[in-house]
Amino acid sequence: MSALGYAELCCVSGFSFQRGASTPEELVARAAELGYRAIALTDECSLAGAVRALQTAEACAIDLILGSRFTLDEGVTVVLLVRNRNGYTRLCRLITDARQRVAKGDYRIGLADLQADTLADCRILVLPDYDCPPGPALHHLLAWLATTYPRQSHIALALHRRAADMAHRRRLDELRARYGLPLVAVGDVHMHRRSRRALQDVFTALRLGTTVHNAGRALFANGERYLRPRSTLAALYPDETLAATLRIAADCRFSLREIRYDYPSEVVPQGQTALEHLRTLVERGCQRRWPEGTNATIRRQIEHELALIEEKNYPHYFLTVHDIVEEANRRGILCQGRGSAANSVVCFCLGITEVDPLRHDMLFERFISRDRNEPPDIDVDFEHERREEIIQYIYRRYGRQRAALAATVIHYRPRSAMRDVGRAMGLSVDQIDTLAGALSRRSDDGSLAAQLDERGIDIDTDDLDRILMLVDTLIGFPRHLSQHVGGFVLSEVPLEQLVPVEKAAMPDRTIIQWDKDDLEAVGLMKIDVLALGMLSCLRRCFALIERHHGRRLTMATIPGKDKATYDMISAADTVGVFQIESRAQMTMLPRLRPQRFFDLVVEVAIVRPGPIQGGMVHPYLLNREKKREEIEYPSEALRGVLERTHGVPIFQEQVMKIAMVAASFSAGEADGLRRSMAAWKKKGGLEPWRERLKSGMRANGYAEDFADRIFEQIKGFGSYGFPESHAVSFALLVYVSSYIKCHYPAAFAAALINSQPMGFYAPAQIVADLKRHGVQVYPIDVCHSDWECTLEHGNDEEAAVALRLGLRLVKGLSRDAGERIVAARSTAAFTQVADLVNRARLGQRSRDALARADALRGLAGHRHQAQWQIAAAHVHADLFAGLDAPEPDVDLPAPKEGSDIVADYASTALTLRRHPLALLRPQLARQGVLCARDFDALADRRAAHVAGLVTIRQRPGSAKGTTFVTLEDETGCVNVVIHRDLLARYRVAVTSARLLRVNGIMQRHGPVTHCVARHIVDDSARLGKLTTWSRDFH
Amino acid sequence: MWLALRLPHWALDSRADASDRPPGTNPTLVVAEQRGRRHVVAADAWALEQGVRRGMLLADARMRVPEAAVLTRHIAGEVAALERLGGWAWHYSSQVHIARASDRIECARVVFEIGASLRLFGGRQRLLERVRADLDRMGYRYTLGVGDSPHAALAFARAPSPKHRAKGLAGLPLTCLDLDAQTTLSLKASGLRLAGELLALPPGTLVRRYGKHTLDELERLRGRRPHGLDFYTLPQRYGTRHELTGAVETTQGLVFVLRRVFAELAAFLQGADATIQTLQLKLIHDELPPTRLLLRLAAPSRDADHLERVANERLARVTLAAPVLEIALASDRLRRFEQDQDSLWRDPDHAGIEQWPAVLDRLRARLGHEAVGWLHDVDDHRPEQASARHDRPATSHTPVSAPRPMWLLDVPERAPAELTLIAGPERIETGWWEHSIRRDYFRARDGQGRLLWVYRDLAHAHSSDTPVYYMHGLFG
Repeated sequence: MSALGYAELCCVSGFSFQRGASTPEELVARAAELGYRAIALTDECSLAGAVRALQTAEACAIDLILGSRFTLDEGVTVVLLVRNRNGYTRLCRLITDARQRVAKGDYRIGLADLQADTLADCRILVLPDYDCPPGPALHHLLAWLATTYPRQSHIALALHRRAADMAHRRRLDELRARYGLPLVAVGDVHMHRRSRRALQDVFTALRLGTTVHNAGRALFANGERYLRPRSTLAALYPDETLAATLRIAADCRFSLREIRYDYPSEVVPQGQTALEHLRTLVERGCQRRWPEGTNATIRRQIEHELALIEEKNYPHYFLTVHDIVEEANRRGILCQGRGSAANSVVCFCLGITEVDPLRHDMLFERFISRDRNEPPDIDVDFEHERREEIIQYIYRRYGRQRAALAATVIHYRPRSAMRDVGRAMGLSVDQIDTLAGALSRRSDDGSLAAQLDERGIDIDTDDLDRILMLVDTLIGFPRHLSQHVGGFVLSEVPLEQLVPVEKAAMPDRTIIQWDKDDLEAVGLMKIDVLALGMLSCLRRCFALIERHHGRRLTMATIPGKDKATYDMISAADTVGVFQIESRAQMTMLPRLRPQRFFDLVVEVAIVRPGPIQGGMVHPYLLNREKKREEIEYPSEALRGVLERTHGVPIFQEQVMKIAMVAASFSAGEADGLRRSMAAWKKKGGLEPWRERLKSGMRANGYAEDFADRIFEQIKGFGSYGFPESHAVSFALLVYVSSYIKCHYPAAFAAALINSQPMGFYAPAQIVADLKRHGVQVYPIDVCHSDWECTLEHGNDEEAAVALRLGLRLVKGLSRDAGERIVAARSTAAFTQVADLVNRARLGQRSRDALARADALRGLAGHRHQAQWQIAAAHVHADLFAGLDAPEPDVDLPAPKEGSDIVADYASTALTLRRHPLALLRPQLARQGVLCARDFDALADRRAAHVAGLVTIRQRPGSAKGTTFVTLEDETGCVNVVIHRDLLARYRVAVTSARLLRVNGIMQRHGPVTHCVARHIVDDSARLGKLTTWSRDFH
Repeated sequence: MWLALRLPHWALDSRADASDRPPGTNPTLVVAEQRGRRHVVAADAWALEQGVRRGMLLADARMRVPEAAVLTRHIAGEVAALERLGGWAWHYSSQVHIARASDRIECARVVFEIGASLRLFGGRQRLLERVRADLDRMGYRYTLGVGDSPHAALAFARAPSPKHRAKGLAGLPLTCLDLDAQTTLSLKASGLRLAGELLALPPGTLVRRYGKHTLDELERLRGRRPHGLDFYTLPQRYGTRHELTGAVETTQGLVFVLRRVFAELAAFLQGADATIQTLQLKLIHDELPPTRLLLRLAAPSRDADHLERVANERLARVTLAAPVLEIALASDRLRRFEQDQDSLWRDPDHAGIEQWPAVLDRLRARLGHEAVGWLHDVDDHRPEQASARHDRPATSHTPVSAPRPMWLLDVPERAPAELTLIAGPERIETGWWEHSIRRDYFRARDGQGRLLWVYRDLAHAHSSDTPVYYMHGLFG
């Protein structure tokens, strides 16, 4: 074997979408295994894989060269390799320019773009075509390079054992002689191993929009474009071309670690250091938060935090977040921070969070880890309807050059992988659909072949094996770059000097080519600007309460420790409340009976897939019943970690702490574990941690099953790990929304409906819940309703407020039309339908919508009359309004109650009349169907027959295929549990029925009741045309 | 008096083998894409029984019949079939209107005047019985209505049940009328339910609300305005295509399908009262050119059974080159049944049949049709797959850069031991999805000085073995 060294200088990864068939990690690791001196990652007009490649290269101790590959407009392919920091910056800019010119996902670049200074700090490899002789563009480029960059330019020789290899070599030799540019060996690598061949062909077929069968010679003739052993290369390439690779590699010394990130400087006033400014702001905040002065505890904490912030050099970060939050305050946009760094007294003083430690018996547990080198983590939630204003502010303040969103790498998931592989393998759309459907259930439903058989899908078994093998390989592969939900990257210098920037799918949005993990790895700052519906709702609540009750509340001034509020929560009376309104949460509430703020924090964190999958919920409930001293801890050391949560780990932070305390993980390892937790679903790779954790715990004398349980919970956290630092901020929203619901139910309902769509419940359920609490609700009426729902005082000021439904609930009525109605009414009350139509200039769609919603009752009488009258009313273009000729009276019958209810649901998705089930009650009673109230009175294990409108269908991932359906009747709701085997039989009924009748068994845990279904009937026909409304959660 | 037929599942029924499928086969749905989502436009009886409805999203239908086969709507085929049905209706009337489903027309329909032919067919009852029997034989699902105007007949055909028809036009639900959806909704929201209530309203109030065209529709319904329908005219020749729901792979299977195809031809010829003398039958395959059968009768005839027998005899001697996806028929000029036959039969129409060079014809006459062919270049790396034999010249040609021998052995054989490798290797490894190969090809000269194309099989060789070479081709 030849001892010749080799560096691969031309290599694309999966980030050259639909081209490269291996990930950057695989390529770099394999190159290291093969003893390559270095490997260049040269994705097509992209550096998206650079950070991943860097991390692997560091781990495998191989030199990584960054570069990119371009096919120029003129048809010539070149590879640019970065030599130094300047070259990197220029390459970033070149990619950014090439990407900005055309639609997302594409790029465009021509010879003219490769101007003199662009290439000065790069090595340039030109890849002549194999299949055709050199054209004029190639000659032109080589001639130019030979005069301008003779020392940096090379002609790349790629040999793949094809028929014309000899001829190709001869042609390149001629070019070398003619232009005096040396030849260099490249592998033109598309995959790390030959076995990725099939996947590469699939990508080629997809790129060309064809199938592998029809792609013909567009596929590579063989699988030689993998990372070949050096001995193979030595046999194939002339020695001097291999030696040239090493000279080039030695010249490309740039490492991503050299890029220096600077925080934007404008947040610091001139003449002050960042820390001084931060301290000033914190002091100012202290005075605001504690007007009567701070105590020693607070002081100490502030000093501790500031010292840490200084040490880690984070003052700019806090100032930048503060700047954005200040802007939101100026605009009256409600916002709240969360995350580990957000739970600090500093953030409380800066107004970034509102969690006041004194009022909520909360002590901050965790701030920024001194040991770990991670950037601070603050996510800021804004009102969902107004987040765009903040985004636009950021763009204005920092300029589009210096602000962009982080990318999210969209990975192949089972369904998308199946779709793409299926398409490339020539399956019909129908076969793909069926297979994808079967595949997505593969994990919980047993063997795929049996399922396909059942569904009558006829695919050759060999084909099926091949397809599944490809799908399995493809899952987890990068598919495209998308924009992060709200992670902004800001910098002092234009971003394109640090990382390529490309277009996002949304107009006027730009994304950088790295995702949040990449950013973290190279130390770029990201600020999450997120949208939260509940904040919109709360802002509306505060406004309504101030206007109608004269009380000025804010997040910070809501009274804490309110017993009535906790009692309401403990009774699971939480329709519409933030987070604890879902059915899983509601069933948990009467058992958890939260009495203080920390209980809410636990509540938010505990009813999640992680803790449920880890089997932590029931032990927690059990331990809560016990006395403090009865709780056993695996060790004294763990008592410190687990005491607050009654000996059961609930928060992500605790799991990390356990790993450190019980298994002797270092802080860095615990952090590695946390990252793997977040990524294992898409990447796997948790198994090494299992061994490491179990052996660590064994060494420290912990029981095997405890280690297993901890590990299971770690896996569960992967799907939705919930850190305490986020739970605390969410718990505050839980408390505030509960407090308002408890004391101002009408305002809460109005704000909730006005902030739709959000949350778990539709307006019908929100209104029904409000009526159950004895609040009067008035119907939609053009003579009284505003666009939004409003509060009305009865005739005298003392009467309780009532809710007036707003025009926004009328289906088919535009906001513009609604606001024209309100404006016209403010000048003078409407006299008749024609007056309304004319003054509010209502088009046909709006007219019909109003009549059908029964919103004309004040002007036209019943629905039929309203429709008849409004159909004749037109907007007059001239002054002769209202001069229509009189027409003969037409006598229309008033609608029956049932048909009015039907129409209410159809036009506004809710009714203030009787519940439809009340009309059907006599028939149902004859069949022995119980109403919800009577069902609730049954004893455990009793047979039950219930019926109701389907309002919610839910299939939580944690419930092992169990489906939950909520049935609503005139007396309340019944929660039905449908187990998986039963669902298979009644799938159609369960997923499409509007009225379900269920025979089942009462299952009772104290006040929590369920009807476990045995037999299900779709009774929708009874509703006639009743259009009910259900939200489906999967 | 007018008769209206609505054919709600025409998109499926119009396919040649839709109704004859053996029991126990999977349910079938026909779907069409609308704004990016696929909706059911037709379904078979079994799927309907499971709750599938027209207009339903495919995903919803799938839930009810997960095992269903799904076909894509093919409008040209529907139109062709509808025109055949027009020919059939000609038997009963010379005023025939046909229309396919479209944005404004809810489903395919055939409307024709029957008042004039009542006596001929022995009265209304007898005529309706015959119509129903015809339709059942052809296997179409339909709803039927009879009224004084075409629009009334259509309205009756839309009636959801016989009891709605009992009270005449006035007793029909509003939804049976051909009003636009907006108007119907508005009327229903005003509390109106039946056509009679609508007809009783002062006309001015309707015009003011819903425009003149709504009143016009009511007038047409009552026959007080011209119906304005265009009529179907008999074509010059019978030319149609039958799309099959699935590929038919055997001639026996074809015989089964052709029964239906010829039954329709019979219905058409009888309806049109016409004869034909030649019929070209094209069996259309996916990629290969169609298989053609030219059926010629000694004299013009409308005996479709006879034609079918002739076709079956011819088919028995044909081996299908590929599965049949579609069947096309083209006749010579239609002639009135009783007309003189000689004068018209002058210029046999051979359009569509290529004019072969005379030499080729002679070659084929001497050696047999199959012995003469063209080699087509096929876009594939694998030598075995890179060419295909066809009975006509290629229309396009893709150049291949790599040197390839003209003569390729059907089955590669061991190369002579005495072998000098001249060029190579050219590594070809592909076809993993069906016929996988992994070979290194070389050009080599053997002891006799022949230039051979040989390969080493990498899939079955170990690097330690002495290389074994196979001869795959000969450079001429």
